[in-house]
Formats: sequence, structure tokens, C-alpha cells
Amino acid sequence: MSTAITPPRNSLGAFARSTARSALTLSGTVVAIVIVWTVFLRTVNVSPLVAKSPFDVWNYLVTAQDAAAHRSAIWSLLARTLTDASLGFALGLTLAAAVSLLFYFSDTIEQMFVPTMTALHAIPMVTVAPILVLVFGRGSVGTAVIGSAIVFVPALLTMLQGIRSAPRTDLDMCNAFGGSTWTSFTKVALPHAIPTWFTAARITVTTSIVGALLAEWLASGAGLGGQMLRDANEFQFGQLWSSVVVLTIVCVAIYQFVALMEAVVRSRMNSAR
Amino acid sequence: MTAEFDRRQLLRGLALGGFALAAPGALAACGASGSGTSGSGTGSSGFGIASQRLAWIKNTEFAGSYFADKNGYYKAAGFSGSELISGGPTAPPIESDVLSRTFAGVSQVPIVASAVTQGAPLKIIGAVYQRYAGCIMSMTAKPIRTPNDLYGKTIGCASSSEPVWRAFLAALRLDTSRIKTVPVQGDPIGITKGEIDGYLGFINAQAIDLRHKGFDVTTMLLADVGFPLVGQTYITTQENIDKHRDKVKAFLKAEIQGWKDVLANPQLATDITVNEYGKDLKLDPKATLDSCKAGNKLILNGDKQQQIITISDKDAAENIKSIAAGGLKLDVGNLFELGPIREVYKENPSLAL
Repeated sequence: MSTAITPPRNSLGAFARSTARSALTLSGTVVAIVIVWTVFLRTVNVSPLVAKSPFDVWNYLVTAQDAAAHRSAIWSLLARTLTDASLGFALGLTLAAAVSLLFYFSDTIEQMFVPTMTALHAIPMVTVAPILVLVFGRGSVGTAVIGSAIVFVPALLTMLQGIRSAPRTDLDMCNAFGGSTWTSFTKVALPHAIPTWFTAARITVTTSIVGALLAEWLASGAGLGGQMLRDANEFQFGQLWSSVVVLTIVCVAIYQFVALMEAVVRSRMNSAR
Repeated sequence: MTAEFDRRQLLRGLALGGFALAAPGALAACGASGSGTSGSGTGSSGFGIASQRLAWIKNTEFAGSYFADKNGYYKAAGFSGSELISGGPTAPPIESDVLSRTFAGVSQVPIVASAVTQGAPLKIIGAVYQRYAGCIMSMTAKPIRTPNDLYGKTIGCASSSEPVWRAFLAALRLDTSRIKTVPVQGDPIGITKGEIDGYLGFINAQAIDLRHKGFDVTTMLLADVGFPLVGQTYITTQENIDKHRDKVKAFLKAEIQGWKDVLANPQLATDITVNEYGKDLKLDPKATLDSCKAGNKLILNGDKQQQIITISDKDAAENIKSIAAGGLKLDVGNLFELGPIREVYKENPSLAL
């Protein structure tokens, strides 16, 4: 990838193209969901009071008499969930970036900890979360820790790959001209690592929303995560399905946005070489 | 390379779409996880399978149904057999199973009432517990004995119990700004660590478990402190009541017989729960016996000739009042259909205790 020759491109045009592509992907996703969803409901035997159709959700959010109230209820819950997600996302990525840089300087530490961390990641968060709640409480700290615990490992592995992808030849050249370890880190390794931070961000951004929902379910009871569980127990399936749809659309949109940022950063960092 | 890049981007987008698709899919698939059909055949050959969706895992809370199956009461009443579908933390809502795939189910008054308010054609046709089993558990060193003791405390509550909890707070006009409710799904171990002060659990389940682990636990039964509510309510659809009334009555008769056996022999009820129906759960026999006995206390109302599983008109009206405070406005007739069980006792007076 690093040695491949990327044709020089007008970055504004590239930006416009990838924006258009994102919009196209988004609308394609929506159409696909509606089709599969409708077909699925027709094939399973679930009461329409429970299994809501795309039409029911549209009605709940747009055409019903109190649709505005429904929307504002979901909106404020969503705002809370996204805030919770951003805490875990920021903490998880920061920690992963810091640790990946630490590992760059010490192979020993890396070999000591990476297998353990990967193994720990295999433990379902549902079982670990109650312990994290006992330690960190049910406030924003607890939420951030649960969210970051989900984000951290995949982000770290991606970032490590990035910092290791610095071309051997470039590093050798740096050494040959008398550059210190620090110089080769700042001049070669870091520029190669930064684009992968954005890759890590793209990979984990939707995971961080899952983490927030989990924290809301198990720790705070707030946001969409808390409300969706209450909905299921109070037979509020209109709100539940609408929440799922809103979350899905928001996840896709956020993912596309981060993917766009990644593409921009990558093209800039590559053309700088 | 550019084309490759584009295609990947698109594929990623679609993969994410797939993830999103899985979400509503999983929700609906929940409904599909129960097995079996609601044997709706009502010909002269019988009532088909007595299928029932239980409110929870197969512990002693459903021992009456185990006896009805084991001792042949379902078959004697005209069913060809029975199917007990267990619930649990990941099971779909009981009401949705009863609406689409089982003949009957066991649920809680506020949850059924929520469903009925949303237009679900369901009715409560009886209740095993005259007093709802929900209680606030606390450590005896820092006990919660009265509703006023709740002030300044943090109470853990599973999301499945939240409707009951909020109805309770509203019915007793407690100041919710002075009581902190936090989600605790499942294990109430937090009260032993002081992370929470109380936990809304069942007097015949989590309270017994903690005591068997050696903790000194104090309980406050919600139904004893001004929140009259029946528990373990049998529900079925309006269609079954209208079109298959005899089947509803046959089902209730078998349940009554089963529960009479549980009252008569809690040890045997425990044995069949631990060794047979709930075998996979690896229940502790001693704790299970205590659970069964605690449950039996909730079944009895002190009347020597009690007609178990029935609900008096007065109790039904009080239940409606209890949940009305929480915003569920229904009439007795919207939620309860007690004709069938009254008829069962009229036709079989010997079923009374």
C-alpha cells in the first residue's frame, strides 16, 4: 500500500465523489433494509402488535397524530446515547493510540500484553460489565469505561498494524543518515500510523454505539439503551422498532462520515510522501 | 486500485447495512424461537396440545403445570398433551407468544395491562399467587421494611420488573426524586456489596437464593404494603375465550389440580422440578424446596375452602386501582375474564380446597 503509486488527484473532486458515493450507499442500504424487513415479516408468524412493519414505523415517526412527540422523545434519548458513545469512543481510541505507540518502542511489552488483551476481549462484555459497574460506578465514568473496553482491542490491533507498516527502507535510510530512534519515529513511523488511527475510528465507531447501549442497559438505564428495554417490557413496540430504525440510520450515517474522513486523511497523508 | 477501493467502500457500506438488517431481524426472530404450535383443534377428538408460555425458566414457580402434565390432568381434561415453553432473560415477551403461538401464558398484571392498552386482545383468566411475589430485598443490617424506608436509597431493578416498580411508586405516591432506581439485570449480588441498597426481586426466588448463600436478607412484599396485586396470572386471547371457552375451562381445571398437588406436597413438587422439568437448570434442592414453600404462601389467602387460581371481584378491582396510578387506565372487564374459572368451580365444587 505504501509503495503503490496513487495517481495525483484533485482532492476537492475526490471529496465530492466520495460524498456522493456515501449518499448513494446510504440510500441503497435503506432500500435494502425496507425490502428484507417487509419480506421477513411476511414469512414469520409474529403478531403485528409486536412485529412492526416499515409502514408502522413511518406512521409512528411521521404521520401519526403525536408523531412530533414521538420524534422528540426518541431524539433526546438518542442524544444521550450518542453522548455516551462518544465518551467510550474517545477514551477507547485515546488509550489504544497511546498503547500502540508504547508498544512501538518495546516489543517485549507488546508480546507480553497483546495476547492477554486479545483473549480478554473474547469475554462477553455482558458478563464483565457488572464488575466494571461495581468498580467505576454508574455515572459517565462507568459508561466511558464499558464503551472503551469494547472499542480498545480492535482499535489497538488496527493501530499496531499501522505503526508496523512503516517501510523498512525508510527507517533504514533514517538510521543511515544518523537519525535517532525518536527521529525515525516522528518522521517515518508516526506518519504511517496516523491514517490507521482513522481506520480504527471507522472500524470502532459503530461498536462504540453498541457499547453505549450496553452501558445504558446494564449501568445507567438512560438513553435509547435503557428505553428500548423498557419498551419491550411495556409493549411499546412502535417506539422500540422506531428506535431500532433511527439507530440504524444514525449508525450508517456516522460510519459513512468517518469513512469519508478516513479517505480524506489517507489521500492527504499519501500525497505528502 | 481505485476501482478496488471503491468497491470495498461500497461493500463495507453494505456489510454495515447487513448488521443493521440483523437488528430488526433479531427482534422478530425472538418471536420465532419458541417452538410448537397452538393446537387449536377443537373437534370431538379433543383440545389438542395445551401449550403454555411460562413467565420464567422452569423453576418451582410453575410446579402446578408440571404436575398437571405429569399426573395426566391435561389429558384428563381433554388435551392430547402439553407443551411448556420456558421463558427467561432472553425470551421474547410472553404476550407476543400468546398472541401468535401458544394457547396460554403466565405473566404479570402491569405487563398484560400495557399490552391490552396497546390493543392486544388478551385477558387474564386466573392467577396462581393471590399476592404478587415481588419484594424489596435489603440487607438486614440496613433494612428496608416500610415504603418510607425507601427514601434516600438506591434500588436495583431488572428491566422486566420496571413496569411493576413504577406502578408501585405511583400507587403509593412515593416521591421518586428521593428514590434512585438503577438497572440491575439478574443477579442482586450488589446489595451484599453495598453498591445498591435494595433490589426488586421475588420473595420465592432471589431472596431465597441469597439466604442460602448465607446472607441475612430482609424482604418487604409489595403486596403487603398497600399495593394489592395478584401474581403469575394466566392469560389467553379473547378469541380463545369467545370461540374455545371449553378449552379455556379445561386448561384452568388442569392447572387447579396441578397446583393443589403442589400445596399438598411441596417436597414432591421440588423433586419433579429439580430432577425432571427444570433438570438443565441444576437447581439446588434445598433452596428450591424453600422457594416452593414461599410460593405456596402466596397462593393461599387463609380461606379454608379457597378456590385457588380464581380472583375475587374485589381483588380484580383493587388490581385495576393499583396499576391505574401508573397510568394504565383500564376497567376490570378490559383486563380480566373470570367467567370461565367461576364456571369450572361451579361444575366441579370438589376442586375447592
